[in-house]
Amino acid sequence: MEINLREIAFSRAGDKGDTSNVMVAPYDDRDYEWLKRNLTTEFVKGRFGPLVLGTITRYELPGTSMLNFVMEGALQGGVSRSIGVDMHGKSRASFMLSLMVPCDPGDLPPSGRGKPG
Amino acid sequence: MSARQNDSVRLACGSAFGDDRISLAVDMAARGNVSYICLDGLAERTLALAHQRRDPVTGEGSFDVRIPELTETLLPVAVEKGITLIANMGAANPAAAGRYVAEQARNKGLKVRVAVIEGDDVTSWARDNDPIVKETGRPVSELPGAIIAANAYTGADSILEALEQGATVILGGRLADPSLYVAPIAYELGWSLDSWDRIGAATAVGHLLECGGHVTGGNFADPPYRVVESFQRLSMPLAEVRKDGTAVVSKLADTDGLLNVETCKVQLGYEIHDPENYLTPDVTADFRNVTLTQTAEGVAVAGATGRARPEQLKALVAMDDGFLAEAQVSFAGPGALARAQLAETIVKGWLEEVVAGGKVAEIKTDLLGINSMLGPVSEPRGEPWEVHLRLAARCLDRHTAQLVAEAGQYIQVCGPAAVGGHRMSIKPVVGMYTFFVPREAIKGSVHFVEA
Repeated sequence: MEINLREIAFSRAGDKGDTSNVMVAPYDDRDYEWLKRNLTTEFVKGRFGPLVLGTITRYELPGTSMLNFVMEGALQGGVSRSIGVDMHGKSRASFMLSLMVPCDPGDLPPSGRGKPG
Repeated sequence: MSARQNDSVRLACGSAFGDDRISLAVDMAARGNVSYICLDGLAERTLALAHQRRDPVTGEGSFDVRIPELTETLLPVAVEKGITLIANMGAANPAAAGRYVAEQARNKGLKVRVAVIEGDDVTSWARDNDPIVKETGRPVSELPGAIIAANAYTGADSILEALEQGATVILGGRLADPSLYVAPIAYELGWSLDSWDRIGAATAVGHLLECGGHVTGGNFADPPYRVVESFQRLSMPLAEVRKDGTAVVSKLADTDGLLNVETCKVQLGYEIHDPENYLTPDVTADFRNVTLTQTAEGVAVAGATGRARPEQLKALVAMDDGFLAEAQVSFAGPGALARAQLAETIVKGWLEEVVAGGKVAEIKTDLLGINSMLGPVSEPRGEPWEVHLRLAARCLDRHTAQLVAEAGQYIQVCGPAAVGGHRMSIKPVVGMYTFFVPREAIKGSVHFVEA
C-alpha cells in the first residue's frame, strides 16, 4: 500500500549554506503519528538519493505535529556557489510531497485522507 | 534609563529581504497600531554584494539601496505614529546609512534619534586569526579566491542598548533577523536578556515575523490542496506579545493573502535545523513544544523555551569565487526534447577543449521543463511542447566564462533546427563560508548621529 504524501501533508524547504531543510506537516494532526511511523529517514534518504550527498537527520516538533528533515551537502555548494537553477532548493518541498509513502494495509492515515495507490 | 514594564507590545515586520516592498511597511505603519517595525534586508549573500558596491572615491561599502525610499515614505509615517524602526539595512556601511537618514530627517523637519550599530565586520579578525571554515574543515586562508568581507551575526544586546538610550531609528549591519524583534520585545516587557525561556519565546515570535510575506500567504499556495484566494493586497505580519510570553500573530485588516495555523507552521519550520537547539546570537531556542492556535485575533503562539546563548557567534566570509557563465536556448513543437538533447551533446563537444584548459571549476547542462530543478530524481511526464537548454559553468576567470557562454550562443546558428530565445550572462560568483567567532572579538558599538 502506498499513500501520496501530497494528499495528507504540506511542506516547505529552506536553505542555510549547503544544508537544505524540508519540513513536513499533516493537514490533520491525527496523521502525525502515522507520518512518524512511515515517513522514515531511510525512506526519504532513498528517494532523495543523489540530491543529498551528506546525512539526513529527521527532527520532531510534537507541539506543531511537524517533521523536519535536515539534509547536508544537498545544495550543490549552497545558494552562493551553486550553478544550478534552483539554488535555494525550494523545489525539494514539492518533491517531498510527490513521494508515495509505503505503509501496511492495516495502517492507513487515521484522518481518512489520502488515496491508497 | 531602564527597560519598561509593559503588559504587551505590538510590533511588525517591515522588510524580509533586500528586494522587499517598502510600501507594505508604510501600510503597516499607518494602520497596524504597532510600536516597532523591524526591517531585514540581508540574505546570506546580500551583505557581500553591498561590500562589493564600494564607493570608488571613499572605498566605503554601501548600505541597503532602499534606504532613500524608506526615508522618503516610511519615516514620516513612523515619526507621526511614534514607531521605532529597527533595521539591519545599514548593510556594509551602517554609519553612512545613519548619517543619510539623520540628514534627510532634518531636511524634512522630522524629529528622530538615529542610532548606528557597528562591530559586525570581522574581516580583519578573520585575516589575523585564520579560523577554521565549517564547510571545509580547513582555515579561511586555504579557501580559493580572495576575501571580500566577513561579518558576524550579532544579537539583541546592542539594539537593546540603543533603545535604552532613546533611539527611534536603529541601523546596523549583520544584526541577526530574530534579534531585530527580540530587543524591542525584551525592552518593552522588561525581560532580561538572560531570562532564556522568555528570550526563546521572543525568538519564536521573531522567527515567525522575520520572513514577512512567508507567514501571510507567500510560498504556500498549492492548489487545489492549499488555496490562497487572492494575492492582490498583501500584508506584512504583526504580533502582539504579552508579558507571559505568549503572542498573537496577525495581519492588517482588509488585506488579502492568508494567515492561519498552517502558514505559521511552515514558517516556524523554515530554515531551522534541530528544533531543540535553534541557535541565534541571543539564545539556544527550543521550538519543539511551540503550539499554534487559531483565535479570533489571529494565530496564538505559545510554548517556545530557551537555554543559554551560544558561546560563539556565527560569521560568514564572502569569497571571490570566479565567474558564473550561463547560456540558454529554447525549442518548441514536435521533437523539441530531441533537438534540445542534440544541442546538449553538440555544445558539450565544443566545450571539451575549454574544459581541458583547467579554468572551468564546474560545468553542467539542464533541460528546463525536464530536469533542471530536481536533476537525477526528476520524473518528466509525456512529450513536452517546449524545452529550454541551459548551460552553466563556474569559471576561474572572465575570459573562460566568455568562451563557455559563447558556445551556448553558437548553438542558435550552428546547432539543430529552429533554435530560439537565446540569452546569456556572465556574473561574478561570491562564495559564502561559515566560521565562528568568540564573542569577545566583536566590538559591538552603538553611537548616535547628531540630528
